[in-house]
Amino acid sequence: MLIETCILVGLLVAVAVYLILQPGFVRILFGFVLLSNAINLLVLLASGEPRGRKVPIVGDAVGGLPPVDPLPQALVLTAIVIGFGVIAYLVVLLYRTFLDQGTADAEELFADAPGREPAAPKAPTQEAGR
Amino acid sequence: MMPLLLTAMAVPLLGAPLLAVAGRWLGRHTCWPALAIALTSLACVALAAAGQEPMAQRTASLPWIPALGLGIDLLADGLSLFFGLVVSGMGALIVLYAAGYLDDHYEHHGRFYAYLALFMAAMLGTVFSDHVLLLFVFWELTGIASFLLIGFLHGEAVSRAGARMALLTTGITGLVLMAGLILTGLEAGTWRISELMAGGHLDASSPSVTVAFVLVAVGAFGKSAQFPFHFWLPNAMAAPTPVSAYLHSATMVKLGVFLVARLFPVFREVELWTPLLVTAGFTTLILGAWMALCATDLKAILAYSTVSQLGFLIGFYGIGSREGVHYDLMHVANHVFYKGCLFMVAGIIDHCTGTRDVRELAGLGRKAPFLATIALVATATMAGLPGTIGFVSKEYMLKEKFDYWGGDEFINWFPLVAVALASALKVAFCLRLWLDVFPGKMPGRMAEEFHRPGWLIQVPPTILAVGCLVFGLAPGLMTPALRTLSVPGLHLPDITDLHLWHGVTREFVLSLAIVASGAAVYALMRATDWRAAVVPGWMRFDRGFEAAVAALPKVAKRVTALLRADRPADFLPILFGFVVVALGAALWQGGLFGAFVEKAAQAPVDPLRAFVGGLIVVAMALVLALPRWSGQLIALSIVGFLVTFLFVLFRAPDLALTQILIEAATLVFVMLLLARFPRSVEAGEQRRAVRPARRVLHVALAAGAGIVVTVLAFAVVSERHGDPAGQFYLANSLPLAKGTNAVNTILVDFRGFDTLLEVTVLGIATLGVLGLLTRHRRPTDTRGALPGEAGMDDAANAGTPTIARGGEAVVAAPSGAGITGDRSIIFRTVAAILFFLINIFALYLLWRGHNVPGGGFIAGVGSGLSFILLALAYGVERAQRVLRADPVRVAATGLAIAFATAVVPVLLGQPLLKHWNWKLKELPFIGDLAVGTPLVFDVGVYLVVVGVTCKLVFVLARSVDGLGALSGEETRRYASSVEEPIEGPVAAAGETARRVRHAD
Repeated sequence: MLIETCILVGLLVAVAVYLILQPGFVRILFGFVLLSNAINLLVLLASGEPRGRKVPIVGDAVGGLPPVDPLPQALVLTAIVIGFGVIAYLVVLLYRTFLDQGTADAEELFADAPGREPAAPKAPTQEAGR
Repeated sequence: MMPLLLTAMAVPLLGAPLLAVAGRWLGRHTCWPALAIALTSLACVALAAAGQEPMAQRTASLPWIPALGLGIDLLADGLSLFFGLVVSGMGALIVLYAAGYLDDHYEHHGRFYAYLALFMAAMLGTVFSDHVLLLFVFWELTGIASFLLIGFLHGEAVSRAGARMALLTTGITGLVLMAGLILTGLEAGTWRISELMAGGHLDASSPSVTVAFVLVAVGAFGKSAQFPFHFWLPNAMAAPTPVSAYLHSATMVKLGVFLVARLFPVFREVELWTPLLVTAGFTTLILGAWMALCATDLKAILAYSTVSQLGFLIGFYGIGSREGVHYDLMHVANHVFYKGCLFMVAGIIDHCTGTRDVRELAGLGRKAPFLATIALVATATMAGLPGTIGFVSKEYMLKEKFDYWGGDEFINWFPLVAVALASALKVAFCLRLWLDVFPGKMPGRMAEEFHRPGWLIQVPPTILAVGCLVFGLAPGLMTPALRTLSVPGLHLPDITDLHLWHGVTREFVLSLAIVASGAAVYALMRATDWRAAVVPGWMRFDRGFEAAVAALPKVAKRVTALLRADRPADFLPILFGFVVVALGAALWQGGLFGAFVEKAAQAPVDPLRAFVGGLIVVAMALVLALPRWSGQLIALSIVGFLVTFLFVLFRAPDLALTQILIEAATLVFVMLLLARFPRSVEAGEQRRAVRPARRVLHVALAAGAGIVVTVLAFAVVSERHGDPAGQFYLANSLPLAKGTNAVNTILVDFRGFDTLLEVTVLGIATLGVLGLLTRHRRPTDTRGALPGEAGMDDAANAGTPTIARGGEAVVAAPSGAGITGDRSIIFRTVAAILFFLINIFALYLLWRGHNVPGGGFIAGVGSGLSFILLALAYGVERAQRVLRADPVRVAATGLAIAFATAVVPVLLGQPLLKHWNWKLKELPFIGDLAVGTPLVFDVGVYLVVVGVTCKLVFVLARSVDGLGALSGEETRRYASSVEEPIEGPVAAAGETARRVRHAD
């Protein structure tokens, strides 16, 4: 029934959400990496119990076992690669923000922009949009 | 017929980009190839028209998307051929006129003629369409071409505002039109216009048909600038005059009229037909005439009179009898002749004197007598004086009106009053147009600046003026053409010969009264110095429109300001809270929480997976608990590598391979980032105290998310679909895709299109990274800066890595050394050997991916890692040199290959991404070998992933090493376009435009 993997996915998500809610850039990044692992596992769970089944390569008779569902695997494979692209972008984004703002802390980033005031003078996107 | 019409459309369509390119070398002489294009189209349409029989309809179609019932369906009948002749004929004249008008003061001649050609193609497409949706597509294309042409001098604010207004007005009404056309098609059950015209498809009394008609009418009103959409046309006069003469008097604005005529047989039976068209059309007729009288700019006068005349044409169809109308094409032709001519004259006057204001102009007749003669003929035509085609048109119009006398009082009297009133006003502003401009003596300053118009520019208006006279004096010449171009359902078959003189009829008497009162109005206005000629403020719809457009972003900004939360700490809990609550509620609804509690206790536990899961939990706890980033990062990587093991347990070798390689790349990447943050940041993070209430909230949200996802996961595994989609791929992997690895065949074959877009996303992510690292340094920011352009100096040879300039401790790497600082000889030697081994393995994975675990993604990450390894061991510069090519180019090549494998089959008439496979038997050493296009596709994917991985790591590694993120050459390549101030070229264009204004 894969109960242990279900609980593992839940724990991964819990820790990931906790980390993303932290103010530090690095913690947010770590949370994001964990989240992407958790979701990949969740999708893979859809292929069902792997015991008594073989890898999804047809015409490869391993004791006559039926192969597992290949579709979730294909989905997860691209998700891993795309996830890497997103994480890489996030890394550079944090790096750039750090260079521009001199802080690696999401709270400090908006420290002088309390409440509803738009944080325009500091937001790096301002310049890009001009 | 089909080849002729297709050629007429395709020549300008395909010629447009060529003209744009040719403009670079030819400059103002681009007009000659453009003229050749227009004449080719004209010849084709004329040849098609030569074979036309009265009341005949010829259709042809070319399949386009048969599955959707879409085709290139063309219809050649009198109406479409007439408009086709107008479009291509005027097109040729306008290009000739532009040859004289667009002198060397203008820039971008190529672009101008390209837009004109595009417009011409779109117009021809619209009029010849036999498919409702095809008509709409071309209809909108004319709007886009019009936008580009109005905004041609986009350096000037007037041009931009006019272009935007035209695009928005015609675009929005165009959407209404689309709704109407779709409704019509659905109601009728056919999309072919020829079938709709044949009748019998629509029940005119049904409400949905009425709705469809009203929607279509709104679209036509918008395009033809009918009240209340009349305001955009005068503002479109910011376009260069050839454009005004072509699009905004002769052709595009007539599309509304065309559409009404086209759908006359379809909707004439609708109850609302006459009231709606008569009210809108004749109201516009009066309003336009009045505003033309008030205007002082030559082009504005002409624009308002165009609005007025279009109203007349729309209203004319409104009072047409159910059986059809007479002579409508003559009325259209009349307007084309005199209005095109007058616009051209206005442009010439502007060119010669530098002004178009009737209050300033005077005495042009003595300086340019020929021009005055042309203008006289055209103005007389507009006023409807005898001897011109305008007179004939007006007489027949009034006769038609008198003949149509039935229906209610409003429909009987309103058009008559409107025509009489508007015609009188028209006579008045015609008098002003000519008498205030040509006779008398030119003011001194203007006389000094005056220069004589060239002969070339006067040829096209002369041709049109001759047309006004010839057809005015001998209207019988038009009769055969009108007979040939008659359309069943629209025209009455009994077309009698046109005559100039009908005796003293009611029409003639009314005409006399109109001319007399018009002259009186002119005399009165002139005597009172035009004080009464003021457009009241509430009539200025264009100002209201502009205000509304300007208010939109303000409203949006205010709403955004109300709703926005800048700090992640404010909005992330809301976001996560919503997901938890929404998902939780859905699961609760399905009773899945109960099921989980019930079954979880007895569920069997796989010991090996539980063991690995336990290790992952321990590693996760370390991520949370360890104090230093380095420790946390290692724990995080352990999680990733253990997930790899889980993938193995889930019988997913492809995933395990990918995950282990990606995990390594992620590790390197995050390490590079951490190397950039100084230790003080890390210390600051540890010291930071989160408020207890916040902490409780975070923990609660995390726990909630964890529980909800656990239940969700359990629901997924415990209720599997009886027939999962994967079975199809397993069964067909070998027979259809000729590969045994089902995961790979899904990626490259079955769902290859997804993969294609996914690698595109990777490419976009890389470009985003480059953008982030190449953007301008913030000038006011002293706290940190991008590492400066350290030039080409090689960090590997520099011994100690350069620490980036830019001031404080912020940019100093924490360890005091970049990633390439400490390199042992053993590491370097091993890395060199590994580099080759990894790449050989990667290529093997790529090659065999179709049948055993592997494939483009995995091989790409592998090869990418080998370059990362090289960068770590020898420095980034060296790794870049080994790769030789710029990684972005590698990725772009890969993307191009992948797209080529997708598109080439389409060109061969196969579906997108169709693959072919061959089996090579008994090769030496290798044995049987299956090769095919999937491998080519996979190579594309491979190259994208290699390029993306390398580029991502290289730029960050360079930056960490204290080098500029991009080498000097790369900076030039990517950054130059970004850093060029965008105001530059625009300002230059504005300058040009101003110079044109005060030319000579």
